[in-house]
Amino acid sequence: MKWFGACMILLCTSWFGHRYSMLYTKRERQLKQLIFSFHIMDAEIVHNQRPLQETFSIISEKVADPLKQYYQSLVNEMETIITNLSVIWEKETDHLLQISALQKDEIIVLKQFGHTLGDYTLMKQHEQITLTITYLEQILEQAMEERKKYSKLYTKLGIFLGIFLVILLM
Amino acid sequence: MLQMEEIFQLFSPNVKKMLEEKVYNQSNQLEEIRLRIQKPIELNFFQNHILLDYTFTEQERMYFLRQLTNHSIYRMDEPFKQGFLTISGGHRIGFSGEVLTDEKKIKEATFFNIRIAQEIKGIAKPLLNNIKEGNTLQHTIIFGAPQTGKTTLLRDLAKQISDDGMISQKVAIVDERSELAACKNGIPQLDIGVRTDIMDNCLKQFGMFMMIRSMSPQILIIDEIGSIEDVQAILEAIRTGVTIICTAHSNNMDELMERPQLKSLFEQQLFKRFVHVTRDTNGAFSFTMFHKKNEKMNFYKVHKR
Repeated sequence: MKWFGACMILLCTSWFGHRYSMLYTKRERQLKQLIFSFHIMDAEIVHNQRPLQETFSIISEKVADPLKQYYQSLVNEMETIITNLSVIWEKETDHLLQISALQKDEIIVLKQFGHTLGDYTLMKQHEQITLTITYLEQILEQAMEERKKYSKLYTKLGIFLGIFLVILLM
Repeated sequence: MLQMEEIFQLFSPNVKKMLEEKVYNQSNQLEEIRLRIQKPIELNFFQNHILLDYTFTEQERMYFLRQLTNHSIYRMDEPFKQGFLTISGGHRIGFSGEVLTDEKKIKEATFFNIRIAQEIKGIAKPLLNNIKEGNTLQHTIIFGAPQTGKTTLLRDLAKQISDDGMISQKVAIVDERSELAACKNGIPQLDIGVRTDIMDNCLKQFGMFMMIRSMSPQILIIDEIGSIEDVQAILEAIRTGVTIICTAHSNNMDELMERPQLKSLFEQQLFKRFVHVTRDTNGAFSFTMFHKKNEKMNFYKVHKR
């Protein structure tokens, strides 16, 4: 019975450690998807001059959740007459922070981009998208380094914390 | 009023409410809405105009542009080059403002003219008998001053020719400014008849031959001819066996004949029917038909409902 309890403690702490380390992997994956979505946005806006609602709809079909959900919500919001798109963008971006592994740095970049969205000429809109992609790529680089540094650390920390608790309780 | 909804929704709720109040009961009389930055919004009816007690501010301008493009102002690059945009319902919005001379396009549009599209079904019916000889329609030119109803007449004429049980013919429209059929993604928003094909947003001189080559029309309809290129294309097209029906700006027959760009068209006496369109003080449309350039054939009036 004692051994069973010890195993359970070890499993639980390891699982939490693993889950925490997975947040780094998820953030990295979602950041890559976010950058990919901005490349699609650039192509659809600059080359096809597609309206934003259609562009968001196309992106939502090409990316996975939670970004799929994010862009789909924007499409749905734009079904009705909206007075200010940047307000809607900000609201949906705040919601994205809650449902994704993305962190404040990239959310700030997204919000800043939202203030420029749709109000510029083709060339300026292209510049804004390119600039945002550059910022996001810098954040991705940092995120990759962080993952390398901390991902394994948290997995190991979970296991060691479990062993420590088991020793302490025995 | 339903037709106006497409225009009203381009304005902020305050302006929309004011417009609805002012236009209520006389929506069919409204011809233009003029917007000038830092100036009151102007409504032009046929005989009079009203200045709204509301200034068209920068905020209002941005609201208008955002709604016009569904929050995608970058899509205005092409319309800013052309100087106009046609929206659902066939209404045309003209722009002016600061121009980028290098790129020959408007950099910042600050003045707008929303021209309300008019669709008066049956307006061309009496004309039909006058432009045919036997069962053959004749080359016809419709002329008149701006805003007298030339395009409205031409649109209905396309429908009448296309749908008429007696003479039903294949009609092709080269709609350079999307005014006749008001196509949106290639789908006509206005009724131009069942046997009508449209080449939308295409330069007239190219569109005419593309249509003749690919769609084998019997009737070719062109709006607002005016350039040397248009005339050259018509002179070519008229000899391919299609019947040309077109419009041109001119106050009267003499001025039409003297228009430098169009002169060569009349020297060869290719047009067999001339239709002069005018507007009466009560808003009624008057049409005077001429056989060749000086033999008056018929006259009729249509009152705007």
